[in-house]
Amino acid sequence: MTPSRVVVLVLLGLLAARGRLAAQNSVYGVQGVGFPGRAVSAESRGLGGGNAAFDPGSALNPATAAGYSGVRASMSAATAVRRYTAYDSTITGLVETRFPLTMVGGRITGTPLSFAVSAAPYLERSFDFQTTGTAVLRGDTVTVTDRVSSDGGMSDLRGALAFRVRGMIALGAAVHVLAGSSKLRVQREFSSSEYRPFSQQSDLTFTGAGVSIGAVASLAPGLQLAGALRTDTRLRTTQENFPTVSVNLPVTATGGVWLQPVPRLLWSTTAQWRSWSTAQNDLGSSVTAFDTWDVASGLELGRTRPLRLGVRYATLPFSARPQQARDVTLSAGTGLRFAQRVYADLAVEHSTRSGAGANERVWYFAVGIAVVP
Amino acid sequence: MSVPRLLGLLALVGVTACKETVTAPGLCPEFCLAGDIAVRDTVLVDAIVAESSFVGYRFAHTAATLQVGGPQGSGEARALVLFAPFAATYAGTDATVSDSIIAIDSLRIELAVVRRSADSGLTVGIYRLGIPPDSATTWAGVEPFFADTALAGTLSIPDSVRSGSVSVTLPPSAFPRFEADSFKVSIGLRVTSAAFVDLMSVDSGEAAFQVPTRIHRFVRLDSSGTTVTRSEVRAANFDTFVGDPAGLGPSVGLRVGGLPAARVMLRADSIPRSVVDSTQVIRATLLLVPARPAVGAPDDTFRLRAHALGADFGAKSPLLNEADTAAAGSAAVPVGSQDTIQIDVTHVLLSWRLSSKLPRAIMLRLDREARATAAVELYSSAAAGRPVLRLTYVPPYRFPGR
Repeated sequence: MTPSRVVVLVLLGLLAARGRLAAQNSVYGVQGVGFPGRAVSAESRGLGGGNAAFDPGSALNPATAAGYSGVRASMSAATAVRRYTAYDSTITGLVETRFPLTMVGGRITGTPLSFAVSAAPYLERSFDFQTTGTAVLRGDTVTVTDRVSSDGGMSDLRGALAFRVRGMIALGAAVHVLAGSSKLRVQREFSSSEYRPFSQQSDLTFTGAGVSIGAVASLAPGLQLAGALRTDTRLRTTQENFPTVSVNLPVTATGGVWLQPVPRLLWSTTAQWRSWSTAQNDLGSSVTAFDTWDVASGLELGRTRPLRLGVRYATLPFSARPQQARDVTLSAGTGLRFAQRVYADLAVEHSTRSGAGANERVWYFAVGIAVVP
Repeated sequence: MSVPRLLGLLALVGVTACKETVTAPGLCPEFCLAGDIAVRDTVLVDAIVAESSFVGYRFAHTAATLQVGGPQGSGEARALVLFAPFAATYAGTDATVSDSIIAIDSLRIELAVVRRSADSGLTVGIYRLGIPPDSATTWAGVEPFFADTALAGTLSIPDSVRSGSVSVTLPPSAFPRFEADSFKVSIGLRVTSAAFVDLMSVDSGEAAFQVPTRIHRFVRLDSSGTTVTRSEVRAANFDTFVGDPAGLGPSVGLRVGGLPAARVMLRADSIPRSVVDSTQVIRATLLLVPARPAVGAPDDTFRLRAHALGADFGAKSPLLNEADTAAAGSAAVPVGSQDTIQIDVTHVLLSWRLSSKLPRAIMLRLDREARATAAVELYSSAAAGRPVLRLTYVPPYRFPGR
């Protein structure tokens, strides 16, 4: 079997998995406005996200669009298998399949500019849980069963332009449009037939915008530094029969270092800080919003079929306790090249999220395909 | 692969990308959605702002059953039946006999019991009515015919018979004016104990009872020199029942039920629209305080229903989904009880929410109109015991944010 057939079979397997696996996003995405998505490619995930600030296939730094020499289209597919423990309950078998990042970029003929258009997850709002409790209605204690589910999220649609200054520095800027929706279902059933079940289905619409700027500087052969800054408007949420509400979105600062001491060894690190705590005033007292750090570092060994290893430490923005949850991820990956036009990247991650009352473990399998037409 | 085709493929994949969910147990409050499903309960004492009482929806002679109730209750009732006349000669199907009647052997009265009180020893007295009953017949008009001297016989209904056919055979002497009245028989039925029985009427559409109230005549005939006995049968031509007006007494409130059937329309225009339209009412209860104990036959229980209206045309307002019993809340009311009546009107408020054009009014009526003397009288909206609406509702869940 040729390598290209292997890649096709992997993709088909991911697609077929949709029909028989069940999915939920992270348990940490229930609170606040959701679980932050990662706009990083499968290649970068193999490095833990360490090269995300330099990777043209990732959407963290608009200056990386200058790295395109021709038109290149890429997409990735991923399946996450999760289990979590909270209180004395352990929930397993939560599976989710996504196509998290799609990107098209290239040079603009006749100009020094390069472009990149991408769609990446910004916030995930997918969950479905059921609780049972009691309520006192008209003096009687009634058992109630609540089911709350949300299906959807917000995408970050980015259009970036970049150019190189004397070949040493790449500068870029991007406009971000945040758009998405979520189907929120809230149901309550009562043990007494005297009460009709409560059922509400709301279509939530999310809108927002942002701008970002970035730079990648080649300071010496084998040494690059990168930096990016992004700011977003407030996230507006429209729900039928209610006034539009909004939540402050964070400022994002990203920095990175990329080092290639020898031809077959790459080391890269990307750090990101986001001011999620500015959303606190909009979320009420039941949720605590924290600023977050996301630091990732990775090694790439070899060139033809490289071995990628990475580690990542991140903190999570929302918690129902005054304690911030954290995420430690180990990753590995590799890349393949077919017929000079098709690139495939494979990555696997294992994340351990803990804090704020839960412990979650995630296996994340990603495959990325890039095509140079 | 061309660039446009590649972009199209990527777009298609992006659109079809989706996932499935499985329900996990929620672990609150850390991993439950912020915000609660708030359930609120309120009593709207001024929800009913006006009311109207209408009489004449159904009369006793058009009811599906006839009630015969004893005098110990507040609604004594007596049934009146006029059978179709027999001929002077035998008109049966047996062609081997002569049609000349030698003699009348007996008469059998057959009644179809639909419902009865639970007590034992139920006996129905059968009286000769001196006049044929009609729709204008009153209690006072037939009272003289229920004297002991007019008693033709009695029919004991076995305790085992809760419904079905019962009969009694009477000698011809029980109806001495049978021939003089052109072979017509009209009877009155009376119960003297604290009990009641409902009989199927000629207007009943209840197919479960195949044997209506009827009379059999057994006659002796000549058949080639031998005397034989043959029978003929006649169904009721007309039936009705009358209630003792003294038992009901003068009206002290808004009457629902009785003879002829009365209904009460409650107008609930003052219910906040924010509650009806913007929340989900999970339980609505109409609380009615009877102005006096419910009247009716002893040991009887009737059902009071509350309907939404399709339009407000006063007395002729059409009931919404009248045939759908699930669409109307109801409550059982025992005769003699003055306890607060609680009727579930959740469906009524749900229909108001679904259509803002429906009148915010509730029509109260008895489940079996004019089938009994049963009635309940309610206080008006101006009285201290006025109708009250109790609502339990859930405001819509709101996504967090400001």
